[in-house]
Amino acid sequence: MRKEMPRGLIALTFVSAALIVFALWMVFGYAPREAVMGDVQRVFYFHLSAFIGASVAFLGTLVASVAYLRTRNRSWDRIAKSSVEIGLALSAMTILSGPVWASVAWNALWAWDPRLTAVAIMWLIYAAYLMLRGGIDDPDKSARFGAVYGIVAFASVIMTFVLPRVVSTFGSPHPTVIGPGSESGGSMTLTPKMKHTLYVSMVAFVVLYFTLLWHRVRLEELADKVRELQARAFERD
Amino acid sequence: MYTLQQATPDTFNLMLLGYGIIFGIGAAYIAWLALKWRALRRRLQALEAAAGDED
Repeated sequence: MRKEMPRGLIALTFVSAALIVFALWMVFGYAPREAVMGDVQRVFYFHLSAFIGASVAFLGTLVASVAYLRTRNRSWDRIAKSSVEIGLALSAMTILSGPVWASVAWNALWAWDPRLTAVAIMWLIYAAYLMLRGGIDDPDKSARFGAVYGIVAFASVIMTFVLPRVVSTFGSPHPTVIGPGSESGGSMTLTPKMKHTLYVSMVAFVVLYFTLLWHRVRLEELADKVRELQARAFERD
Repeated sequence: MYTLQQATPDTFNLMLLGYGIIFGIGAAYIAWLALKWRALRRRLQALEAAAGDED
């Protein structure tokens, strides 16, 4: 692992940073100030985009887990595990920034409605994935168990999208921005400039996920190399 | 006739708090990756040096 950082990764890191800076400019300099909630509504652009990034990360875990079970190639396991970690960081951004906005929009920090509850459960399920991986010493067994868990856990991501839309009796104050919401759910109308800002932010977070994934996978490769050398040193002793 | 108009509240500080949380988590994660990378590189160098000494 003496290799320097690949040029592609350097380029992707710069593109990702530039996209985040551009999205920030759109959030603060391009999108209009919301009339009812004021500036705090601007949290929404990164709040939702971080969740989209997290969802793509957990989808990455699903795809990599299926690929690992089919091929037993360790590279897929590294992608699955790394994606969970990045997904947890991105969804933590969503979960912890939401109450700041909700304190003005709902006059409450948290509401036990279908979407918020589903997202909280999703976060805990993926946190348990890392605990499961950490609790098994045998790398092959850990990868196999992790792959099966990573596939089943994706149901919790689907629930965060489906539940608030189909179960109208669980009416939620949380707005549904993409697609139709439940009958009693909160609504949100975006101006064209707000939509542009949201789309750019979403793209920035998806690119950020792929950038972090590449860095994280390299770290996992390095950790595997260290483990391998440690095992060899142990055998010699 | 008077029309009741709602004034837009001043929530600038809350917006800063929201972005502080988002960037704080992001910065903490990236810093953790960098520190872990550095620690693993040092460990690898030490292991390779030890293996070289034995050869």
